[in-house]
Amino acid sequence: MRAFWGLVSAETKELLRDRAGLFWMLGFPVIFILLFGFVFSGGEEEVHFELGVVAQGTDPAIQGLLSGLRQVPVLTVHEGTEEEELAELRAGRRDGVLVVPQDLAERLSAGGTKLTLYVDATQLTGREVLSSILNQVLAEFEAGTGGAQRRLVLAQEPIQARRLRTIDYMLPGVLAMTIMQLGLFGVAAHLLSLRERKVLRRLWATPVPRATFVSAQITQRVLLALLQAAIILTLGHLVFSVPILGSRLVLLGVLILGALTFVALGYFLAAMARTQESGIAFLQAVNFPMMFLSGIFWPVEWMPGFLKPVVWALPLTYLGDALRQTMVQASPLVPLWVDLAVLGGWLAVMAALAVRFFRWE
Amino acid sequence: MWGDLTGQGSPGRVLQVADVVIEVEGLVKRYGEILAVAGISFSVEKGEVFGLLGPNGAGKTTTVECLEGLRLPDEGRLSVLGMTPSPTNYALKARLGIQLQESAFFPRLTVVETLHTFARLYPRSRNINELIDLLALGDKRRSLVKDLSGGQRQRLAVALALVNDPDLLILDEPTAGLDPQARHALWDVIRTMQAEGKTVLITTHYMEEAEALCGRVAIMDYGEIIALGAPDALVAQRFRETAVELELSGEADLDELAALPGVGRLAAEKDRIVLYTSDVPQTLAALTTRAAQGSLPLRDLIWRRASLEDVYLALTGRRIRE
Repeated sequence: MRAFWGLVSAETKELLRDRAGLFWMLGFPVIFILLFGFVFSGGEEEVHFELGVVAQGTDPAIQGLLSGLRQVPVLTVHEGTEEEELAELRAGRRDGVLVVPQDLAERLSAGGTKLTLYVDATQLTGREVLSSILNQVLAEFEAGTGGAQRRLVLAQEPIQARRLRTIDYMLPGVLAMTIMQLGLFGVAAHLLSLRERKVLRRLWATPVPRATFVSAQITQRVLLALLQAAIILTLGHLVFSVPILGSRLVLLGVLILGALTFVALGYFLAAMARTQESGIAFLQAVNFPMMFLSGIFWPVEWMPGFLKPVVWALPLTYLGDALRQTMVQASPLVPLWVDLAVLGGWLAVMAALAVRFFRWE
Repeated sequence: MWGDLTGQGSPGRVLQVADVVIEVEGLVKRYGEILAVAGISFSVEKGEVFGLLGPNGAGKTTTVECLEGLRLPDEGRLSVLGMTPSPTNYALKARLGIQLQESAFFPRLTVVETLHTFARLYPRSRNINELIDLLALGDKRRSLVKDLSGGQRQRLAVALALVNDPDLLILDEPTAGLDPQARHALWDVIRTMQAEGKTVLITTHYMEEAEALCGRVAIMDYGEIIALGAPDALVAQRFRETAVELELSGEADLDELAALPGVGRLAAEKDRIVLYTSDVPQTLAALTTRAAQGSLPLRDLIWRRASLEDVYLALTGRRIRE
């Protein structure tokens, strides 16, 4: 254990003092997110809401409420059945769905009622703005029907909708990309450099089993991946209000599995490369297709058909999908368990090949 | 030897048999077609400073790497501290102090961090501050490894070889690239280790280093040991004469030089000629006369005691450093 933590500490110091490496591992994803986040959020956030209203019946109270809603300039009101309107909300074509009970007038005279507002759970600020606009409309409406006390209560009901802002879609993707690049450059390139400089050779002259070295390195890299994730998630939350909607425990599990998979991929790639120089070119050749074909920056559906097999072959597709599902509950490409199974499969195969082919000298 | 012990030893008498620390029997190592070590045998006793001497490519490094368990021999039997070296013989590795010819450490750790890191890889360790003082790295203790000069890095490599307080030190070209002052300082470190009772195996291609440090040397050439023994004895076996080294600026008649008074034999190599003479004054007188007459284009002349360099030259016809 002394040797294990000694190596973890040495590797950590080594990485933290490598300014260029540190930039690529921590600075680059942050700049990336800030840049993309601001580019895509500029202008688009004109305040306007598509509101679905479920209000059956000719009750004059309901008609009064509807006309009140129609007078609000930032709202476009769509009427429909609850089923229809919720489907629209899930599809991302509504910002909220207000359900008005058929017997509104009766309930009002009976002392009040609850109105349900279904909102898109991912729209943290949007749904609050919509809710306060509707509250204002309801208050005016109630003032018109007489009575001093508020009798209508608006109850927010967040549901999972498919409508994601660009940043919501992209942030989990950038996190996945960061973990992938940690495996490629933080593990493979680092190993090639240690091997080329004969640092590994000197380590084998000590009574430290290779398994200790490998497990120390894996532990250190997984911890680093979690640090990267913490930075990216905090940044997303503070600056762009990107939520974590799924279970944090599941998210942690997905991150650890993803980190292990790409660390194993790093070992495998280092095993395939002969020299450091050829290795770096080789790593870039793996990096770029993964970055652009794994649905990190744009949805997989946009990809031309002939590229689809490549898309489905890349492990990053599944890590990105798993992170999008657990973070912003985006509509899945494949069920979460399939993502996890594919990543687990990649992990097993890469680890086996790395054990078989890795040359320490 | 065991027969003596069991047959003649009287009860209660403890026989001190010199501990054999390294035993090599018929070591062969090939890299593909190339025969790097061609079946060598030698042994090193406890407390010795033993030198493997020879030019680059003679098989010295391969030999020590087999002893360190970094490579497995193709043939032969090795015993180091009573154990068989192998990549997974961690008990042996814990007791070896190893300095590799080419090795690097984490470039962004400081000298003192590197020593502490390596100390944690071993079951026991020496005092780090003492090591830093011993190798004169005091003013570099907070420097990053990547910022060290070649000589400082070499001293760090030797400090790391000592970090686990080893029983056997294996140093591969420890003074390569050091200036003469640093080299002599390192010799003192090695003598200190010997005084502490440690056994030292050192490879070098510096003849004077082997003569100054080693109790015994094995001279290697093309994977074989061509001479083995104490440096003085190796020289004395072959040379009772003094060496007179000439540097010429033109052609000279070698037969004429070989026939000069006192000259027993001669070794010639390019424009340098070594005459081995049993009568220095007579030989020198004859040489200077010819130089004065203009029949010998003499540029430089020194005379010295015959050395390991002459032994190597006599055995191979080449000089060791080329």
